[in-house]
Amino acid sequence: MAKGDVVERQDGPLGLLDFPRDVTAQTRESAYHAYNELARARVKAIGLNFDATDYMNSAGIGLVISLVEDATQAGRKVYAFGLGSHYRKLFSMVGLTERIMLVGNEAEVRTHVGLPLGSTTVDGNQEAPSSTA
Amino acid sequence: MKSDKIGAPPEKVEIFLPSTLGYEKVARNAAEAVAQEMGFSPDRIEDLKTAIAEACMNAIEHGNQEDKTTTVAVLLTAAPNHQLEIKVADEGLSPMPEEVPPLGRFSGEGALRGLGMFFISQLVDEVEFTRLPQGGNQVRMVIYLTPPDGASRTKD
Repeated sequence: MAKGDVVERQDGPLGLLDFPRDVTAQTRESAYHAYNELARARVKAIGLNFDATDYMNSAGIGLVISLVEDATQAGRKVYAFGLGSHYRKLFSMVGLTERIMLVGNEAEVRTHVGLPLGSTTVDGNQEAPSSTA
Repeated sequence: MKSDKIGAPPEKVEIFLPSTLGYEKVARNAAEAVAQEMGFSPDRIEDLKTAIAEACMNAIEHGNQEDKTTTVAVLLTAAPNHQLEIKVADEGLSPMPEEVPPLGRFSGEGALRGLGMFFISQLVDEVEFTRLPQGGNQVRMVIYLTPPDGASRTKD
């Protein structure tokens, strides 16, 4: 796994794709690989995590369009979080917001999917939620 | 630039980029610095950064065909009337359309074509795509510090 790769995580019906700092044409291969892993695992929903992303160009947005198109055709609900206002605007301009639900963070995705709060690991094992003292 | 400011930077900034994808971020960073100096809002600066990056990517990928012997010229001009003009010129190894192609929303491969030009046309206040007399393609963009009609920056 290279630094600029997309990484997948899974927790039951939810698959998460963690996008890197730059989302460009160079992200395509790892994104498709990660997405296909989640598709093979038959996840019901996909969460696109852009928390680490600060540059996404038209090729990167085109990549997201392709992933969303595939996911929705397969009947998967798609969520996205970690986007700033500028990229939310760009997503809206190309119609992505009609296909996906923009939420504030991963916890909101988990709530929508009906999962308990807590983080997932790369291999899909769920870690215990941190306790609040 | 704030021409009344002592020690203000020059009104024109020119950059030459290698025709290698990734270098568009250099132009993006330069445009951000100039726009900040002119007093543009953070939202407006994000629009500008996307527009200039897309213009440079088009020049590198299509106009110059990623030929390492070619360069992309970027000229930023801060006008006294608080407008920032950006010209991005390539060497024209491949002609680019002079009009923004229609964007096909979620229509397969067609949806991805012209996405960069679509963003440019939506994010700046003026844009023109031209063939230069000496050869090469040029995108000229203008972004206003204050929108002429006070409307939202994003066009419908």
